[in-house]
Amino acid sequence: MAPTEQEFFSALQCIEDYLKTQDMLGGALKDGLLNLARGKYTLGSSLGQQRYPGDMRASALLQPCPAGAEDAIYEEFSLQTVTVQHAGQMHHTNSTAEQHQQHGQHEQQPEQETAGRTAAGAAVAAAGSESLSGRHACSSNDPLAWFSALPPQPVRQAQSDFAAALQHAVAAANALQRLRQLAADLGLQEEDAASDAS
Amino acid sequence: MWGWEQLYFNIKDGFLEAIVRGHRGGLLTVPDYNNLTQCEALDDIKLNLTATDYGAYLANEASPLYTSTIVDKCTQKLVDDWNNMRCQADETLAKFLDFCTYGHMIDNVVLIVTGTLHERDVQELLDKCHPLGMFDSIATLAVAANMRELYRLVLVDTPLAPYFSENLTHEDLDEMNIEIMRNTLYKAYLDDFAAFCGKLGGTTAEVMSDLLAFEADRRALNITLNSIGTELTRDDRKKLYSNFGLLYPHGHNELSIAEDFDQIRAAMEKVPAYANVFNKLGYGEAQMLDKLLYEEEVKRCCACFEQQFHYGVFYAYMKLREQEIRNIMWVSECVAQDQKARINDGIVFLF
Repeated sequence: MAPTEQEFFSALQCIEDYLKTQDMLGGALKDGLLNLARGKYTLGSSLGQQRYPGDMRASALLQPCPAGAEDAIYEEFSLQTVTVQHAGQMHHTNSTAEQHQQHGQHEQQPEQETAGRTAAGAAVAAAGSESLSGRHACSSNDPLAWFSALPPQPVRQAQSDFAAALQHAVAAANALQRLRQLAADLGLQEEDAASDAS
Repeated sequence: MWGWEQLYFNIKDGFLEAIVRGHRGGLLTVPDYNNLTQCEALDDIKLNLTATDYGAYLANEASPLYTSTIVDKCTQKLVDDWNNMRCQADETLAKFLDFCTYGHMIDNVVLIVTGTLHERDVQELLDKCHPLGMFDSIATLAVAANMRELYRLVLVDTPLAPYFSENLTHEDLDEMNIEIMRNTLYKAYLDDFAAFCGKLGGTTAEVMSDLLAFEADRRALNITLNSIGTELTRDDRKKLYSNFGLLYPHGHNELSIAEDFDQIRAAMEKVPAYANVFNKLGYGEAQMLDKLLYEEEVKRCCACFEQQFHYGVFYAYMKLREQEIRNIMWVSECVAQDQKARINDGIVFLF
């Protein structure tokens, strides 16, 4: 197969990937929002923005990384995140384009810096008098703990759905970047062919 | 005299019983919910609710509407009704009505404490508190320097003081321990409420013992379900269960060691009253459980109104109104998210 044809088929594959991940992204967001509504049904108004910590920091970082080829002009994205897939079990993922294409193969990565909160102490001596606001209570990096230490199942499921949506969003962006790169390569080849012909 | 309420109940409490029965008549019916489920936008929901008891609260709300706005206005209706009844209640009924609100008070205390630890603005937290759980010194919760001051400066003068001092022996400030504190306070509150209703005797004791036993059992079930996979130990879990209810004590022993939904199911199905609830669930299906429990609660609350001359109707009215607000919240969320197919998943019909 000629290189041009190969790139054309690769472009079609990228389009298919992009549309598929976009669909999955929409589905994950829809499920997440519905599960959030179910959580509100159970927890009531305690599930709200008033539970966010004042020094809340992102637990997922989107980092551009160079694509494979040396002459590639479009970067791909890598998501460094700490997600919770099961209740109480932390799972570290580093979502790259290749890993997402392998449908769920995740590599164990070193812990990423997440919320900058110190762990709480346990029982305080009767004579101790630490400041209520100075002694940060959060002993967990899981945002679920902001709302309840015993979160109901719908809220946990909502967190999983939104984490999956984030992965799909990154995969969609990477598919789009590959498509742009292929289009750029095809465009360059056409220019070369035109200049050779002239 | 035990069981002779019909002779003397109406002297002091007859008027308010009539009032609460009138409020009960204003709860939404199946045709109302059918109209709501056919709405395409939140403005349509507002339009439909204008013809109900919530009309005066929603009529002046400008677009764009949000789900939280609808819920807040509906809650305000409950708060106004409750306060109207509370200010006209005699001593015994007033104490009963106050007992009904202590659950909200506990939630508000936990909200303020947690929010302060998260360095949130106090006024912002106060705006999010449930109106039925407010007390005069609630704002001073935020200035307390530690748990000891929290109790000494604020909670000692509140109805929650006995529950706090008897059951909390150390200053707990991480998320898990705050949750343990909440559930411990709630356990003490339920025990106290049950004891108070027992002392009242008569039909009130009979009706409320059933309702409070169900509440205690439901809390035990939810604590067990939600603590699976968390760091809450079995011993700590067992300490959060109330000291009464159909599950006490053998069911609690089994629930405390349960590690998955099927073990919980096996423990609950030994109680005939709950076997019917779990029979409606498919194998391994836990998502429907909340709705089934709410349906069971609604059934019991509606049955309260079949008898006269007791205080249980006030508690039942509060629970029914809260369920109605949950229904409206669910319908609004489904309409806002364009998930009309799931709209009936969360509606518990009251009648």
